[in-house]
Amino acid sequence: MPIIEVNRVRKVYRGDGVETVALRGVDLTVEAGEFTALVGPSGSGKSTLLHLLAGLDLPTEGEVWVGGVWLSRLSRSERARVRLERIGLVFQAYNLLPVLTALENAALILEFRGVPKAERERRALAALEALGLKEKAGRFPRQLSGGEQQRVAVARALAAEPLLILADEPTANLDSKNGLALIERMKALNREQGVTFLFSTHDPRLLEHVKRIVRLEDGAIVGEEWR
Amino acid sequence: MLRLAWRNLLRTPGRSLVTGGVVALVVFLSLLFLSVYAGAFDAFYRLLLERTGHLLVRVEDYEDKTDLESLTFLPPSLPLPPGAEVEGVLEGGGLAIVGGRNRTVVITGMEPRGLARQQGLLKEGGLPRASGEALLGEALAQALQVGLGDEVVVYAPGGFGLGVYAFRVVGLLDFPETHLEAQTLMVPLEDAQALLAPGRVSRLEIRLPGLGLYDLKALEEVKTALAPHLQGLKVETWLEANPVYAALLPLYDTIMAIYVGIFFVLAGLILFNALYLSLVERVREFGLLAGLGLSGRRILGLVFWESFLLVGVAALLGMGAGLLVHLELADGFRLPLPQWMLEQYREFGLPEVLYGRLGVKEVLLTLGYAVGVALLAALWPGYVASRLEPVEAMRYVP
Ligand SMILES: Nc1ncnc2c1ncn2[C@@H]1O[C@H](COP(=O)(O)OP(=O)(O)OP(=O)(O)O)[C@@H](O)[C@H]1O
Ligand SMILES: [Mg+2]
Repeated sequence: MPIIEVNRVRKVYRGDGVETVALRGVDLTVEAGEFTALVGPSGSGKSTLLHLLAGLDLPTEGEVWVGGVWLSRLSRSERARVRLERIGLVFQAYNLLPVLTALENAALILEFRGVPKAERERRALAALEALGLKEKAGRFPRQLSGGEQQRVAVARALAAEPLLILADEPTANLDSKNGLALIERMKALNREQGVTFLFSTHDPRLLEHVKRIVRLEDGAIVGEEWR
Repeated sequence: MLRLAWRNLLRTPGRSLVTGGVVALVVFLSLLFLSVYAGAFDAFYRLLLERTGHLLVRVEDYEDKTDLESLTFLPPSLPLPPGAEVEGVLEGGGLAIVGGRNRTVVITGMEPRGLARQQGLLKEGGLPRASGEALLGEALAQALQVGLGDEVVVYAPGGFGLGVYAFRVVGLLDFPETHLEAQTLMVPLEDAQALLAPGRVSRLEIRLPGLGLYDLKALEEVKTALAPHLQGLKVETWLEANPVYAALLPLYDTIMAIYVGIFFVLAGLILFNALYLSLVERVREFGLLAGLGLSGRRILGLVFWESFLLVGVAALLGMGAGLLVHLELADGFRLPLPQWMLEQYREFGLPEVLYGRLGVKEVLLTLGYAVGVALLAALWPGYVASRLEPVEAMRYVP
C-alpha cells in the first residue's frame, strides 16, 4: 500500500469574490522509502498540495489518502492527531520555538506525544547527531544559522519517526550551498534510515541527486522524472 | 508544556513583571483591606454589643405600649450561666426645670456599671457616685443654662413614684446626635425608681463575658433557656434588638466580596491585555504548534498555563506580603484618618485602635478571585489561539 495516494484532487480557493484554482485534478502516488521532490514555478500549487497531504486543509474535490487514511473523512482535531502521530513537517521558515533549545525543539513532537523526558531526549539527540548538530543541542534558535535551524526542524521530524516527512521549500531561506547541504542530509537519512521524504523546491540546482522529481505547473502535474 | 509556558512568560520579562506586580498588589491590597475592614466592623459591633448587652429583657409588645406602668416590670430571678452580669435600666419621660426654663427629658436610671460605660462620652465633670447626682447632655445643659454643680429639678407626674426629684449636675455628655443630647438625663437607678416607679425597671441588660462577638449560636442557647422563666416578658439578642445592624451582618460577606471583586476586575483587565498581546505577537508560533499537530484543546491549555503560572506566582507573593502586614495589623493599628474624622469616630464611642482580622474565608476569597481572574482573562486569548488556522497563522505578519 502506498504511503500517499492522491486521486483527482482539485483545490479551489474562494475569497473576496475571486476564485483561484490552485490544483486542477492532481494524481500522485508515493511509496514508502521514496525521496521525491516537487518542483514548479511560484504559484504552481506546491504548497497547496503539501498542505492537503498534511491535512492542514481539505481538497475541494478528489481524495487524499495518507497511510491508508482518507483525510477528508477526519475532523480537524483528528487530522491534527494524524500529523502528530504520523507526519513529520518541515516548514519554509519559523519552524522552531524561540524559547526552546535545539534539543527541546527536536524533542517537541515526542513531548506532545507524552514520551518520557529521558527517552525523548535520547531520540532527539540521536536525530540531531544524524543531522550534524550534536554539538549545538543546547543552543537556542537565535544562536543558530538559518541552515542549522532548518536542520533542527528536520531532526524534530526525524526524532518522531513518522511515516513520512513533508517539507515545503525547506531550503527557501538558505543560500545554495547550505540548501544543497540540507538536501544531502535528507538524502542520507533516506538512504541510511529509509525515511520517506516529499519536499518542494523551485531551485533546480538542488535536484542533482534526487531520485524522483514531480513537476507541477499551474495546478497540474506536467511531468515526472526518475533517475 | 509547563516549561514552555514558563519560558514564554520569561521572554517578555518587563510585561510579565508589570502584570504579575499588579496581580500581587491587588492580592496584597485585598488582604489588607479585608483585615482593616473586618477590624473596623468588629469595633463597631463590639461597641453595639457593649451598649446593648448580649441579651435584653423587656415587656412583651413594648413597642405598642406607652404608659410607664405597662412598660416596666419587677426584675424576676433568672437562671443564667455563671459569670453573667445583669443590669437594670429604667427609662421614663419627665420635665427638667431650672428657674424659669424647662425642657422635656428622657430620664435614664442606670446601675453604676451602666453609668461607668458613659465615660467615653463624658465631656466635662465626672460620673454620678451618689444619689442625687446626674449626667446631662451638653445641649440640654445649655438650654437650661446650667453647668457643673448646678441643681436641676425633674418632674415626672406620669409615673407612680415621688413624681419630683432634685439632681445636681456632675457631668456633661457629648453625643453625636444633638437631638438626643438635648433630652438626655442620666441618673442612678435607685433615684430614677424613686422618681418614676419604685423597684421596677424597663429593661434588663444581660452581659455574658467570655462569649465572642459573633458567637451567636451559644447566645441563642442561653436565650432559649431563659424563655420559660419570663412571664409577660420577652428576651432578645443584641442583634434582634438592633434590627438594622443585624440586617447588615449577613450582607457583610457579600459587600466585601464586591469590593474585593472590583480590585480584581482591574487585575483581570491588565492580565487579559498581557495575554492578548502575547497571543498577537506569537500568532506564528501558535500556528506552528497547530501545524505540528497540537490539538486546539492543548493550545488553549498552554495559554491557561501561562495565565495560571503568572497569577499563581504573583498571588503567592502578594499573599505572603499581605499576611505579614496583617499580622502587624492584628496587633492593633490606628486608622490613618485626618484628625477631624477621628474626632467624629470618638464621638460615636468607637475605639481609635482597631485590630485587623483575617479568616480562612477571606484568604480563600482572595485566592478564589485570583484563580477566577486567571481563568477568565485566559478564556478569550486561549480560544482565539486554539481556533487559529495553522497555514494562515504561520503566514501572519505581526
Ligand atoms: N489561502 C489562499 N487563498 C487564496 N488563494 C491561494 C491561497 N493559497 C494559495 N493560493 C493560490 O493558489 C495558487 C497556488 O499557490 P501555492 O502557494 O500552492 O503555490 P506554490 O507553488 O507553493 O508557490 P511558491 O513557490 O511561490 O510557494 C496560487 O495562485 C495562489 O495565489
Ligand atoms: Mg509555496
